[in-house]
Amino acid sequence: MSVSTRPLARFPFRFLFRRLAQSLFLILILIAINFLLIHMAPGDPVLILAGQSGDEKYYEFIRVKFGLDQPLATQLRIFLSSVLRGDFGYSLGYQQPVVSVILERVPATLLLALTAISLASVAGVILGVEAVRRRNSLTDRAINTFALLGHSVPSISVGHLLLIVFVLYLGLFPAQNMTSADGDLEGAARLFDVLSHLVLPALTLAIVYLAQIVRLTRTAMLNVINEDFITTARAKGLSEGHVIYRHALRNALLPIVTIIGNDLGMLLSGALLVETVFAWPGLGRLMIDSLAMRDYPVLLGLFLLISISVAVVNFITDLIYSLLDPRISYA
Amino acid sequence: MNVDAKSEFWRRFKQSRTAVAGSFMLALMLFVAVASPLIAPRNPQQTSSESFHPPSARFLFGTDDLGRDVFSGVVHGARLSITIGMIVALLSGFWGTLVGLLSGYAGGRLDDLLMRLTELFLIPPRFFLALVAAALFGSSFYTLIVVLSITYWPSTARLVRAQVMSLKERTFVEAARAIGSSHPRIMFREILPNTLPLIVTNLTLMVGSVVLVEASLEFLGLGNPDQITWGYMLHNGQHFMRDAWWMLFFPTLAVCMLVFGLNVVGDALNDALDPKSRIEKFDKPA
Repeated sequence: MSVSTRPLARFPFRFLFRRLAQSLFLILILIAINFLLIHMAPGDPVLILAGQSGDEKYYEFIRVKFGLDQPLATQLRIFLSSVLRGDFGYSLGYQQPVVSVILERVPATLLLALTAISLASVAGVILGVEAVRRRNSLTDRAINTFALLGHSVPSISVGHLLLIVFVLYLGLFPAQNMTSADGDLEGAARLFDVLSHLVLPALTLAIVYLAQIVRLTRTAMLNVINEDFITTARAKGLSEGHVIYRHALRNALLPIVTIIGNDLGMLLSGALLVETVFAWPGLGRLMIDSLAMRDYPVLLGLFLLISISVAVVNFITDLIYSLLDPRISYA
Repeated sequence: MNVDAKSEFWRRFKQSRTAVAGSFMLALMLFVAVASPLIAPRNPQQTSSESFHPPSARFLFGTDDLGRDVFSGVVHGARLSITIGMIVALLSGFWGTLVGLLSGYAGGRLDDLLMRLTELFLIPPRFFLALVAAALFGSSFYTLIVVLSITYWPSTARLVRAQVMSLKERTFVEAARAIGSSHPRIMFREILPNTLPLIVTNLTLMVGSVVLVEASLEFLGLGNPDQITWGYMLHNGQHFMRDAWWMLFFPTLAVCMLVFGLNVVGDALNDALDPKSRIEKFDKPA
């Protein structure tokens, strides 16, 4: 698989433009669905748009702001335009605009998601490749069973298991939060503190995604391993490791990249369960907290941002795809 | 699947120890679910003064913080989880198959419209959609089923559509058309039966996924408060993991056995399918 020396020459501008337009359209529709959800839910939409802890004056303000006494079409227009201006409302629970409440949690989620996905990708690809190299051996079967088990055990239980082993019995890592409570650490001590809190949630998430990446790598490798060019590479006298990693894996990489991109897109919206088990202060935890507080403005803002980020990640995956594989044409 | 493929399937199935173990677990859980009123010794909600009783002959799986019998809870939970899983799979399987069949067979504008609609439902992560909906509409038994069905049908629709598109070019469909069969007849009598193995496999894997999603929602406190469910037990048990391991261990074991069993059987069915139409597993809520 070689990338053209002049990538711009075959860059599928028209295709990408169409996909971009499609994504934007989908996002608009999602905002509208969001709006409809508010009106379909039982109870007064004012309570949902304002949150349940406001007073009569604030509710009146929201009623006027979103034109809740106007016809539905007008309301939709007002809602759309305020969302497009980046106005997701005000969170009474956090006493802040929704946008800043959400942005505050992004770094924690990014740190957790990127660490977990990197771990899972490297380990998953290596295990998957080794399983194929030793096909039908004990190693292969062990890796396979592990992957199947990993797919069946709830993420919560993986977290519980690590908690029991590493916190209750070995006492190696802290169990909760992202930093220690005493807090005033600086420099290296602070970094070390965050890292020691990161280990268990990141490991839990990595194990969850590892299973999937191992299975996919194994399938993708089995698909290319019997191709003629692999036989040719072997006949040339290349070492087995070279054949496997340079020739076979390269050609099996596309579906693997896709699934990893997909996982990352999901994870950027926060790992709800793992963040809950370890009290990690990311977007997932924010979602649960605002659910508990019935802080609907934050909840709706999250729902929308998550949908948008998934749409954007899908778009970027398409883009990478078209650059990675010269055979794909988008007429 | 013709007769040869069937016997080949059973031969390979019986050879794999994992497949046999998995189907044994699945059978056990199904039996427990069906016979739960006969098996459970107590009412799982009945509190008593004997809290934190470790597993013994009297309390097989011990008791929880309020003196409720964990064994009865696990047994009742099996019934609830499997019921919800199967109803959701059937509802979204039905709707998804209908959309996929129409979309793939009709093609053109209708196909475009239905597929854009499907993609729309695929954009927000499934678990989030279920969570927000459960928060807004409540999480009784029925709303949970509706909410989950709405999030699951698109995967079936896409799968069936792809299969239908390849099937409708085959000679037996051409033959049916040549003798003047109507479109509904071709769709439901000729094409649909040939997509059934694929649909059954898809639904088997789906039930496992639904069980995990449902338990996760309950774990987060979005379950039905009137029922003792697996997700609730996982939630409650984690507070006492140091002193009352049985509160967490047995519900966890039950979830794992059921989902493992479903995945193993789904996998075996998947292997028996045409390799080109292999089904990717569902994402698991993290």
